[in-house]
Amino acid sequence: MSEGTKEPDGGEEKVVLKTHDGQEFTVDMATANQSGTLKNLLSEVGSSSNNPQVIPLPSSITSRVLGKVVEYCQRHAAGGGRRGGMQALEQFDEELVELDKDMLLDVTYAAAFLDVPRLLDLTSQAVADAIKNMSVEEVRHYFGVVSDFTEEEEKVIRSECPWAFE
Amino acid sequence: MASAFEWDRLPHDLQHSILLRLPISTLLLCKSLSRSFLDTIRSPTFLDAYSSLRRGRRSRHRDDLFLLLFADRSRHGLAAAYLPSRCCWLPLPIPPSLHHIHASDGSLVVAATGKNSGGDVVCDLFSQTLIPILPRMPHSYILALIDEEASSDFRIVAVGSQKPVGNALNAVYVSSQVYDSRSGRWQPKGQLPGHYAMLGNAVFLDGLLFVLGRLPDHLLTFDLDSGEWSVVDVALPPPVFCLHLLVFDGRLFLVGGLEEDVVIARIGIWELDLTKSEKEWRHFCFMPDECFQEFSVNELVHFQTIDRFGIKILARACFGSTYGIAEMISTSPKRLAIRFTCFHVTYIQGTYGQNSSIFLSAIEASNHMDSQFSVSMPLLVGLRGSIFLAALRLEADSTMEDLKAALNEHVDLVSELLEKFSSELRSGFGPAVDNFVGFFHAIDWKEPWLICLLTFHFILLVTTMLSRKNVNFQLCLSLLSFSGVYFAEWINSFLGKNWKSFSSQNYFDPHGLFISVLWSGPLLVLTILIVVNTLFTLCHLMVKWKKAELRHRARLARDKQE
Repeated sequence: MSEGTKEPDGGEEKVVLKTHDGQEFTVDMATANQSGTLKNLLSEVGSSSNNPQVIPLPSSITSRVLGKVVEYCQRHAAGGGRRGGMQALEQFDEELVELDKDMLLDVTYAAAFLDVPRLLDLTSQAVADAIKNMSVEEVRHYFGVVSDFTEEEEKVIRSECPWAFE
Repeated sequence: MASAFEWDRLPHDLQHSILLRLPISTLLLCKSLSRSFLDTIRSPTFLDAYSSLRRGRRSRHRDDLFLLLFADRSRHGLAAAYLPSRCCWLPLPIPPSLHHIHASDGSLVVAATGKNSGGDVVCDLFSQTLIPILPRMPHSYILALIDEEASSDFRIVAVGSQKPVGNALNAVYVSSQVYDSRSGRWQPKGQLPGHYAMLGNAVFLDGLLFVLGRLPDHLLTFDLDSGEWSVVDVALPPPVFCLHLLVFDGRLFLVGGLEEDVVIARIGIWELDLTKSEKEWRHFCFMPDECFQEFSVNELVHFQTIDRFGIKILARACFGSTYGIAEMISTSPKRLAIRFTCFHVTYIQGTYGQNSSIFLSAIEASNHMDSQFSVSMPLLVGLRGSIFLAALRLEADSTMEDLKAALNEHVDLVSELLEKFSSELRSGFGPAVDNFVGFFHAIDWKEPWLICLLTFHFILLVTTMLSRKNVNFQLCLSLLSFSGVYFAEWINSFLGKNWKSFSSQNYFDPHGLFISVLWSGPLLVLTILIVVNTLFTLCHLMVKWKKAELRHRARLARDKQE
């Protein structure tokens, strides 16, 4: 979705992010620098617009997920300094995390991997908000967790927090 | 595409990142999800991070519990917290090494660790971290624990007399000392400006600690930095009992019960405007009757109040039954709304049913335990075992709420205008009828002089009708009634001065409404009748005259012919 959204203008350095499923995202340096991981990587290897670096990403970051991250980084690289843009940016953030559960957790994972602290904040908070009013069973289902307590332990837990199992 | 997401696949720091953002209640719940959750949440690194993040930023979102601490003295303590969003109670374990909990602010409590009163600790109930503090002076008790915002520092204020406990009432001046977590030391600071039988709860506002001194009743302030005590020049609202100070939204409030015949008849809230030079506890509101009845059940002789971040109040009548919550809501910077609710608590009775052995203490304790009783309130020892305290917290106003409030205010204004306008429209018709009905009912029609007046009008009417043939008489009558109308004003003012001699009340208002309706009105109606009658007579006369003329002409013509 973000592929080629930014036309390469002469002289500006570009980076190509390549996902495991073969999609390529071309982003400029300002966008890439939002990610601590990419920033470190690029400061070591360097890059140029004529021959952009291609950075392969692990399989856990799909093109759909990366699209979200790139969208966030581009928006924040461009919109941070604009006057009056803060509100629009906040709204953008809010809408960005309106995702289904798997997608949200994948984006959280990608944000952690690429080291985008503010995106990580955002998605972690969204996950926290999502499970805030759930019961134990619902949270287990949400996170794909299977109880590994023994029956007695489970019983003790239930008697300690009867409210959580309602 | 990723398959179904698995929590355990997440790196640890990511798990932390999510868990750190959970409110306390959800975090407690997460402990029972699985072993890995339990281990993560119990790990010291996570607890430290959670504790500092929660306290450092003072996030209301995370601190979503109302805390009610139960310190069972025989066994080790257990705390119960009320979770408003789910309307349920959560048990919270208290570290077994803690004994008496003296005071608290939020999840931070000051407690004794052993039998010897010297060794206190400050404990964060959620992270279960213990911070030992140096012993305070002997025979003192902790007045307040102040958890500072935006840092993990705290201060503790303790007061006590230097004399042994024995004759506390004769004790000399009570001195105070302050513990600062930054320096890690107790420092003697200040002396109370007099002797008080007891001190009530303390609240921290704008760098000052406000304390209620009882017997004599004074509002005291304590400056933590300079160590200066002073008395605020303000009288307590009379006759109020079970007092509790609370701060909400930077304003100082007092909660108390108004006493009538030994029982508390109403619970009210008063506010003290600290910016004014002439200080006065201004009445803010009373608990609504229906709520109060539910709260007090039969007779209310005593109740306790707790608040947290200014919210709430909580109180209760006799052991473990009813709680009332007054939730202060700031609807705009200038306005505060209070919502009262009552609820019955079954959890406490069911699970901690041995009333006699339960001692309830609290977060932001308003009455402290043993030490306070023995030092300064020997009279209240009898209440042991039935003192309870709870802590509640308030969703204080956020910018969003302010915005909403401003919007609401605007809407209010517009709807008020609309209502005024429409009522003015309606008032064109409705009120006239209402006024007339009201006027009619306001008059006592059985008064003799009124009956005479009505009879007079009736006779006049009958005379007019009987004399309809006599035009001259009617003319005189109409002249008379006109003069009656003409003199109405004079009559009104004359009778207005002398109404006492003949009437039970003064009907003769300066506007002359009464005289117009009962005197001038009928006379005018009478004259109108006369005029109409005269017109008829006139027409009749003209017809008669025309007939006579025609007849006369016919006769003339006939004479000519002859």
